[in-house]
Amino acid sequence: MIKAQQFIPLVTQISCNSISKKQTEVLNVRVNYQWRGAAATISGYAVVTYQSIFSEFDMIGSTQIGFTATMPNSPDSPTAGYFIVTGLPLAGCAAKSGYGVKVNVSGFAEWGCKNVLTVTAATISFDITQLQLS
Amino acid sequence: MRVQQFIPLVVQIPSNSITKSQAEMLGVESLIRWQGPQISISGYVVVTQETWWGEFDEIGSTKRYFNIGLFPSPDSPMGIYLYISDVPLSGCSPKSGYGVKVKVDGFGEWGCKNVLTVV
Repeated sequence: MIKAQQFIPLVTQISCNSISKKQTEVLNVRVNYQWRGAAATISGYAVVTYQSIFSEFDMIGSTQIGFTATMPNSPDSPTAGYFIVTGLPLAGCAAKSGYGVKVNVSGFAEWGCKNVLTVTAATISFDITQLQLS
Repeated sequence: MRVQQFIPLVVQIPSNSITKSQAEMLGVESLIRWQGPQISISGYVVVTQETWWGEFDEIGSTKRYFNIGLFPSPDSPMGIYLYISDVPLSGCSPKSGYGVKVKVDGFGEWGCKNVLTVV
């Protein structure tokens, strides 16, 4: 008798530049890929992650942004290309270093990089300086 | 170690003086300096009077609530005018010496004393 085992999908770690952003800014993720196959539209999401006791790529849900991208018709050899996922909001991230980024492509797999994003605190200042009665 | 509780202070700011009748409405324009992300703020404007227990004792019937969105200004402070109209004065006795206070939830209170005369 063969016992079926369930495997948790792994995130393939890839290279990435490091960046520092404020909580009030958004993160854009350029995804460089190699594609071989018929023309297709893929979809998925990019998300900011952090390393926790549960996972190396524990997701911060508020930063998740979905995307769709069109892959070229390239049946004979791999074609390189890229697409950009724009506008990942960082307001839900605490101000600290060590964040990662993960890209999930539905039906394929997940790719990510750890310790590439530092989020710095947003400056908040509110003051009323004058009243005018009428 | 003893923990002390502090009563929040009203920050006193400049304002023009004005005379209004009880039948009129007061308009209050606040000049705000804001730096930060896009958020909503809420609070109220109220006519006040100086009593022995408080410099800015509120006259409840004059209270006008507001809720506005602030545009993001992450890098430098931005000036914003907040105008609250139709503050009712019918609950004020005809006399001088009234003040005005603006309370913004989570940020603080600003006010000015002796700026309103109700006739």
